[in-house]
Amino acid sequence: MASNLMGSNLASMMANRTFVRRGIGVVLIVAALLAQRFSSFFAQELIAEAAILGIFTLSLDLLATCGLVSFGHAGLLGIGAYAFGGVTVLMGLPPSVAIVAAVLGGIVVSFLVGLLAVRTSGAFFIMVTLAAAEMFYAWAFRSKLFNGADGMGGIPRLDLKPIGIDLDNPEIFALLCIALCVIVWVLLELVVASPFGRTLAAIRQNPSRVAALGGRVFAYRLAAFTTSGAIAALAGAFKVQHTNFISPDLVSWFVSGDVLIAVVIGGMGTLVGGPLGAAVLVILKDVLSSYVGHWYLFLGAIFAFVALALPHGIVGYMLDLIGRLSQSRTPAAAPGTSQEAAP
Amino acid sequence: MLLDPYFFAEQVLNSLQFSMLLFLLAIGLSVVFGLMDYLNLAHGTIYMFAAYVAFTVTQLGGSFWAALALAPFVAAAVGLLLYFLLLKRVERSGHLAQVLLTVGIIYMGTDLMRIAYGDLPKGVAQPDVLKGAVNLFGILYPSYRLFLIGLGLVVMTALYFALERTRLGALVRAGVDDRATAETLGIDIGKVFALVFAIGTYLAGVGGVVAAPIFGVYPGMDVTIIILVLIVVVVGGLGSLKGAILGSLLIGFADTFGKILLPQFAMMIIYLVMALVLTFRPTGLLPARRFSTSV
Repeated sequence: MASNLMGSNLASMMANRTFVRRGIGVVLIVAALLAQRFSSFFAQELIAEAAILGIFTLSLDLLATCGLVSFGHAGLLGIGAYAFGGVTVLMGLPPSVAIVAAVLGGIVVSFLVGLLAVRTSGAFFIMVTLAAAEMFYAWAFRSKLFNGADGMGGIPRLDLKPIGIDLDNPEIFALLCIALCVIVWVLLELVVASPFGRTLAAIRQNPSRVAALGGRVFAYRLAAFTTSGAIAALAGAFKVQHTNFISPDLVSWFVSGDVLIAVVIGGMGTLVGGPLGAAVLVILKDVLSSYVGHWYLFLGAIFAFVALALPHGIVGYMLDLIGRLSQSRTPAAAPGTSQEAAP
Repeated sequence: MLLDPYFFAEQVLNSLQFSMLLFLLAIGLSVVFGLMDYLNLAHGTIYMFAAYVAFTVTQLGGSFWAALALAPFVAAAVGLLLYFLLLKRVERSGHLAQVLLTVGIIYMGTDLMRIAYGDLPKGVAQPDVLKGAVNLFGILYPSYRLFLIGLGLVVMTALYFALERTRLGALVRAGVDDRATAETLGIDIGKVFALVFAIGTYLAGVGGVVAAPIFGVYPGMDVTIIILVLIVVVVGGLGSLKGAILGSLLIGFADTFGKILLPQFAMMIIYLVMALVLTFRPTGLLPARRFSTSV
């Protein structure tokens, strides 16, 4: 009887957390749309940048659901970017085809890399993914096809003029990026809540136990990595449409670091934290670089502050806070309730 | 080209010399990681800081030896200060908070050095005694680089005896092996860790000073080296001296010979080595124990 009560309490707490996460997501969407509606021409570029980084963070955070942290996600972003550039500029095919090719490329490459990478975990997974991305970087840096280190310009955007949408207009492109980020977020919320997503969470919490219960840890992790790769490649395809330019810089480990930092700032394992962190990071970089000389000094200080004050990120902090508040109301709500946010 | 025995021997020496530099940084990172499961990316910042201190000492008229005597202590002091002020606070917050904090420290460190010394690389002169070359069985090899190899071997031997033969070494090994049990037995792992951290940053400082005459001193030198050192640590396996030695040698040789055989893809060869090692040994070649590798 008592355990039953505890169980239902736990379930309601979990539901509560999911509710709060999704609520933060809705607030973020409204804020993004308001910002897009009322901000200047230049800010549209920042909004598009944040939304694309937001898609990228979602891909990284899905992987974190099963306890894996990648430090080479720029490689998968780069696959999408280079596939999109290759199909449009080098092969002369329409951008719509290129987006499909980019996502397929992301799936194939992440599946192949995943076969090796998801056998490891923790710091070792971090290093293997970094290695894979750096190998791609080395290739891109020397690639004659893609102009090597100089990069390649003239990448077209998706042509939606036949249905009356002009994506060369920054305001409309920013809106599209927001919409895409929202779609990916909703899909991943569904994935995380599905039996597949629950299994991933179980693998994060205790891989040996899942294996002992007959769960195929390797297959699930590979599936998560491949899905993550598809989303990262999608982000890459839109990143190059935004800048109209590809270069090896897209694949450098600074990009992998940026997306990781955005997720950590927002709160890893919360999904909505990623896009929130992306927005915070893009705004911070823009504000600091336009007002301060040595702005990396301040950016670093802010990172350090966030790590010390909010080790579970902004959304993680909010969830913990709400968890504590409801705990003080119902003292029976027991340990383990803060499991979801803590990776 | 490699068939020429003299050229080959020279490259072997070059590889050894680079391996020793990698080792000086890798051992601190590896033991800190093994003992506390702490991912300290700012280890390279200490290395850079020591190199700048060495530059300042020589600028003020001090000799290279004065710099070598002084800078590592300053590095260790700054390392300990960072540890007690900042790093210690995210000890139990997981790798991600540690990554965020230490990347923050890297950004701050790089910009502080930029503000203090500017963007341009600075040079530190080799000590006069070691300016020439030594004739080794017909190969003229720079004495300074030979000195580096010797220094690395001395540090390795000293660490071996410190870890295997002293009480502190036994405490460190016990902590790496099974921290919870060691603490139950009354060992203050926190104190042991602070000491290990100090020694690790001291050695990173030594690395920074001896690297300065070869690679120069510049903002960003920390990031260049830390990636390689991280690879050394995971290839070798966490928390073990033998692992750090083997990893340093493997990556030192892969880097040097990679640059000769495939100049454009040297980095790729290192990553390939790492991918291969981790395919067959997912926790590195000689880990101190089977690590629970959850993030």
